[in-house]
Amino acid sequence: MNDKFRKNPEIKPLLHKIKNDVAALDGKTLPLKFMEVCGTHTVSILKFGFRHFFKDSIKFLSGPGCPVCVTSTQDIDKIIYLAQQGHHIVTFGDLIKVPGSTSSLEKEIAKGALVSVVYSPLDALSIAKNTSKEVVFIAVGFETTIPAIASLVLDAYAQKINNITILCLVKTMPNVLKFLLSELSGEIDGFIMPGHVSVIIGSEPYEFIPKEYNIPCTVAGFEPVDLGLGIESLVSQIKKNTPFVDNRYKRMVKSEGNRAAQELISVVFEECDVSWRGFGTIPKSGLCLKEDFAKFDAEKKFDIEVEDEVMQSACICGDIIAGRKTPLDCTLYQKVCNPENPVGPCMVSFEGACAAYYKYGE
Amino acid sequence: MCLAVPYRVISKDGNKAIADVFGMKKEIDIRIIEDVEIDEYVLVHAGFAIQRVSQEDAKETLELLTELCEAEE
Amino acid sequence: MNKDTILLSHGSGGKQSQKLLELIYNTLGEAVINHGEDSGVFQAPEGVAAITTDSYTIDPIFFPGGNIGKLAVCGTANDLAMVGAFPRYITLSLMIEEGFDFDDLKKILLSVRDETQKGNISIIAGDTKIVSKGKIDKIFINTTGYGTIISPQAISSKEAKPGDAIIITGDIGDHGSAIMAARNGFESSLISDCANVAPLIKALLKRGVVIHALRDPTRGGLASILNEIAGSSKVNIELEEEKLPIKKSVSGVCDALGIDPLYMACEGRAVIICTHDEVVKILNILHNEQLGKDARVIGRVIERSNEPKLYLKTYIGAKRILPLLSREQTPRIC
Repeated sequence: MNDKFRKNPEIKPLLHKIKNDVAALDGKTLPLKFMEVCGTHTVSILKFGFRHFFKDSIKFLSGPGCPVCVTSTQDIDKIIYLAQQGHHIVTFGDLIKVPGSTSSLEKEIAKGALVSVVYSPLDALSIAKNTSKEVVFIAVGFETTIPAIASLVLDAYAQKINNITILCLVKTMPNVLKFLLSELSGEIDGFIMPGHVSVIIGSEPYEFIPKEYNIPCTVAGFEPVDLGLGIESLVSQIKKNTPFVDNRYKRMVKSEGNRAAQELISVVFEECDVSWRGFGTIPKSGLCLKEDFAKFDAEKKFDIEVEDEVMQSACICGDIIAGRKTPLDCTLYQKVCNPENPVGPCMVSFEGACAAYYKYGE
Repeated sequence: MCLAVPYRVISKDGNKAIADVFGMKKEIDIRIIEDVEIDEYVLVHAGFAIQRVSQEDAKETLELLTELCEAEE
Repeated sequence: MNKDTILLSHGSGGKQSQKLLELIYNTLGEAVINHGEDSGVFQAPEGVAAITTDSYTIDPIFFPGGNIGKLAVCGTANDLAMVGAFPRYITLSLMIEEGFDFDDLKKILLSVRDETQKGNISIIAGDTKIVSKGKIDKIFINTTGYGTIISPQAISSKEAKPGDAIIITGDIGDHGSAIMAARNGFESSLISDCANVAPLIKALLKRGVVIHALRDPTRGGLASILNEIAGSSKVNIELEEEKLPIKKSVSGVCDALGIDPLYMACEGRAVIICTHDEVVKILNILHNEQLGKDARVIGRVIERSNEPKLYLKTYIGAKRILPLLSREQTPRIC
């Protein structure tokens, strides 16, 4: 079934249609600027060659990237602290190379830290059952991942597993978008909303964007057909000047989202203010464990000592993501900050603006 | 933000199911999908099913694609 | 002797060591020549020879389609084949962790025996060390391979030329994906493609085929070695996504884990770069061999370049760059 959304012969005519439609637009400066909020979209756009195909018609701006890439230096330092204390760290592979202020998990592993990479948060429970050590699951993710993390906590609670905690670093979408929109200076001509976060939260939370900012939005999937249809929607909305939130990923996304997932999340978590790499603290942009589940909170169980976050003043990721500057404007770019030694999320992210510039010379 | 792919459910056991993706089997968690049926497709992220795939909507999306291409001709 | 696990005393040079050696020699059988001596002695053939060395530390040591022993022999043979040499001798150095299972050791040695016999390779020297628990991960194998050059050609990563065709001998990413699937709890039909491709290369060279460059896409996969060739030959290379042979099950596991099959290791494949004129001849020969039956052209060398790049023409007809990755792929969630 996936093949029909990936290797479909109709994709080429669709993309050509989009190119023609863009060229025929009246009174619009080209290239159009579309921001894809989601790191997985950035990867798809690059992987399938959309960036190159639409070179002169559409410029794709990478948004806040991925939840791992926006994990702050101080939060990484907390993970490293826990690893250095001898606890068994369980994490997604994405986090291994993200740098803290002086080290990274990769470097700690080389020094003998106990770290397991898992595919699912629920794997952490099996690990905890088979060890006497304290297991800490590093909970990063947006709403797509949060139901699985909530399930981990609920199962640990129900099965009375006492040697497991989570370091809660999860972040949520709608409020970072509000923050981004207030920061964005350059004109964004359209938003490609995160397809899988939308599976959980639905398309309703984005309605403020066309209403208050008059910017077209589309909820798109990740295969070439899905992305093509999403981009087509944005161009069509611009043409007709009728911005709205167009869900073009209907086989997965309902406007109200997945209610069962939302309920599951609300049993375990509540809203709180969290810090984002490159942006600082954004109000109500993250979740923390409810009081009933406090004993699974690594920050409450362990006395985590880390330095206060020193904002790397030279890092301009925030400006880059907001579209105010490019990597070439950054004094750290290439000389200090590169894929082997990344500083901000734009370089940490595999396909972030700076990593892409560096690799592809764009 | 989020890598997720459709898996086909082969067998169920409470909150868990064995599901197939291109001939590979994996245990997944299906607790938030009500009344999952065998042979149904669910969207799986990090070992957790987050949505059932609507075949009807999939068909409609492909029809939209054809429509848009025909409009261009 | 503890029949179950290896002990430090098995490496101390005394009676226990003798018993371990006996087991090793008995299992390897006729694959070993010259045993009992400190060094392997052989009549050096005339002409040009090639030597390679490799260490094998793979985890898991048993994987669908093979084990560390099979990998050690095939990997060594393939390295020799890539310079146009046919493997004749191999040395086998085993570093075994205290507590390693004897039955596992036997299984690994049986694979070594099978692969060396299949490939007509003799084990000419060996060594065994037992290392304290925790100081090594289960078993590491180091080899040195010796081979004789079949036909004098300047086969080198520096020899790719504009207009050359890029041929792959079979499906890509099988080994890397099988390992990834095993490590992440996927029960699958994925099997490593681990195999000795030297006979395949011999079949080509004996027929006088002219080859510019030969590489086996092991660690880092197809995209990594093509980047290396592009860099060494100072040329731009373009692959066509439509032509890449990838099993559905391989692309499935890659989709699920967020990894790219173009960067997944192959352990039984060769990339052949040749002039356009040699393509038909090469494909005819390859298609007659079991290991080469799915061989096909997947791209070409485009032009000379001072900033060499590897391009991929995607399904939608657009071009993108396939960079050299600075990091090994791990499963990701975003």
